[in-house]
Amino acid sequence: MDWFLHSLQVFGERAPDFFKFFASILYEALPFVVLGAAIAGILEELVPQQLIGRILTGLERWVPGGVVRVAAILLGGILGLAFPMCECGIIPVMRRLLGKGLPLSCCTAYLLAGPIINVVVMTSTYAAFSGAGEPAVGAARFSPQMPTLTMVALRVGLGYVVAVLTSLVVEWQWRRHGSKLLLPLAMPGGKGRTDDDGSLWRSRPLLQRLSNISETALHDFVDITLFLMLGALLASGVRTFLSHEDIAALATQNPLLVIVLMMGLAVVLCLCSEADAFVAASFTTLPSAAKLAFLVLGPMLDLKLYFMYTRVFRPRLIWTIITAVVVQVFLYSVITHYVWVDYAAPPPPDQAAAAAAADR
Amino acid sequence: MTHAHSHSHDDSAYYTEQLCTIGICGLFGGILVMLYVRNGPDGMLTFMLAEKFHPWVLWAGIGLLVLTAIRAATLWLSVGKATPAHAHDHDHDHGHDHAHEHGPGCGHDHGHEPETAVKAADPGAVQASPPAMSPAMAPPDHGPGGDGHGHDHSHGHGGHDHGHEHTWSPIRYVVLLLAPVLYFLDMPNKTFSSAAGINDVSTGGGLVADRGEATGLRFSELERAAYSPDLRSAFEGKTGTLKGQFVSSGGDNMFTLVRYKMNCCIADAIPLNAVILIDDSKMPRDAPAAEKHVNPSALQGKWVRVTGQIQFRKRRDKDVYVPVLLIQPTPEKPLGKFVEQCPPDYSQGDL
Repeated sequence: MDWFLHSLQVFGERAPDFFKFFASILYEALPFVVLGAAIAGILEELVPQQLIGRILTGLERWVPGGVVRVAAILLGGILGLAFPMCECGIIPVMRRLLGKGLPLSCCTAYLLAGPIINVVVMTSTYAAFSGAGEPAVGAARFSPQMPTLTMVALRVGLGYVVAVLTSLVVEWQWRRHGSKLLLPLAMPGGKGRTDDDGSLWRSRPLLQRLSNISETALHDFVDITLFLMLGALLASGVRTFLSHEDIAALATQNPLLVIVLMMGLAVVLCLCSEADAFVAASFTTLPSAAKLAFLVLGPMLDLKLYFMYTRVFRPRLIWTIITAVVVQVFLYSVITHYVWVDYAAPPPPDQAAAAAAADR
Repeated sequence: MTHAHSHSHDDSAYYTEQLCTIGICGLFGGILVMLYVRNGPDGMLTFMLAEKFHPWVLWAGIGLLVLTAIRAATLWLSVGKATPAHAHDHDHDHGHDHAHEHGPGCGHDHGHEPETAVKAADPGAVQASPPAMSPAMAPPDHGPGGDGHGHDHSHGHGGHDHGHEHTWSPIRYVVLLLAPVLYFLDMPNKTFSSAAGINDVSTGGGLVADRGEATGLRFSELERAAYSPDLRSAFEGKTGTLKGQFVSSGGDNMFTLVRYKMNCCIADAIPLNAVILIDDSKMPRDAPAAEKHVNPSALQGKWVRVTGQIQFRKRRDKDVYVPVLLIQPTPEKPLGKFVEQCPPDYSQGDL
């Protein structure tokens, strides 16, 4: 009870900070939600039903279906290089693309890898870790830090692997359960509109098109923003209680526990994939593998993304994705940690010598 | 499951939901534009978001306002268009969408399975109804995880319903109003209640040999230098000027200057600290307090510009160095020459 009252008191004192974090997360994401909603409206109006599905079906006449699907997943994982988009903007676009027949597994690959594998994020990751490798002098626990390029390469590489393997799991689920994995608005169109014979160019009054586009876009904006706000509220609550120094104190823990804690932090902080590298880089005492886990998991799964997923996927699929992503990120981070510490990291400096040199 | 339909659809619910959507989207669009227009070095947008996002906010606001205007105009034009009511049997679990407007006598089925094709209405039961909605109009939310109905269909076309009521849910608009309400209450305010001053550095020791001026000193430079013996040596003894927010360290001869370095938004902001120490040994005992000490309660949260000698001191409990600006006021040059209030500046350019 005392703990509860104390927490209430602390929250009351920090309530202004709570609204700061909430507003900043919201206003940072809103432009991308608007962009995604506008693109979704245009896609819905201009792209005939099942066009993408028909293209893939056509390809399968020459190439085995499984190969086409795997190739599409592999391609989906690197689409972010051509179409860089914040994860908030990808959701409404993806929902409409699913309705147009884009395979779920391809959408999943783009959704998971797109926020990591794009030029903007790779550049910001490089900038964040440049020169950020020096541990604090006299740090209680020395954590050998990875070189900048290694960090960038591992973030991109592991992000791609996690996205592709998760998409393959999703494809397997799709073959078992089909459209039951999706909410109705994201289901492939089936017979489609009665006036849609599948041709690309439809004769329709401009006013009607604009009406449809605007209605779809505004509906998607309201739908996505609502759940974005719920996620932002939760993330702000956590951020209000967690300070930068609280997180840095994790360095005294067991490395595996630190990895788990950093993964949890990635989920609750809801940072955008461009900024999280700078936050991770500032924790100079944490193991590099823990920071890597933070950087790979964050763009794929956080509180606001979870709420936005509920507007596209049914719970079975959501938890399939969550399980596949979390397990993989943890495993790869642990492997990376032990490989790095045991085989690749430079030996720890003589701490006494370092402190003496610093005091001269 | 197929069922015959009645024509008791609540058309007003459709228009109410459309109007609420237009209203809330217009509100958000207007707020985004106003955030940009009313921004400045001490503006809310500069405080919350990195500068690179400011144009995005403006264009998002304009885009929302344009979409809202288009929707409002087309909705206005579509009001009063009559469409004949028609009954149809159809399967509940169909995944169709209706991306077209329905006009009177459209006489087409709505993408249903063949056994669920729309049948012609009873001529005696024609009633006006609002035009069909596009696939945007999903059934109301039934919470995360789906709507539970397995379909997405228009509400207002032909006056048919699908065997159940689709009342709109005002609660979603109430939740969405949170952001506009905060904006009109001029929230969030621009101070961090959790900011705590650093008071665990040694206050002993005066000025060291003067090594000139550190021109163009940046907060982040000093913060980074604290971790490097070579950089500490390079800065130690120089005179520098920093600007930041005053955070009390519990006394009147020491305080902390804080700037928040953010890369995207305030949620990822990292506090940069510089401890300001005041050495009043050169001031006579009877000198006014304002000339040798700060007033923490008056300055807390305010923006100040501080000029002092750069040093680095170890923190007692953390065994790391922090940058320090040491000030030594004299009767010729009292404290006010070293510490002066300045306008807020949340921009990141000088960090």
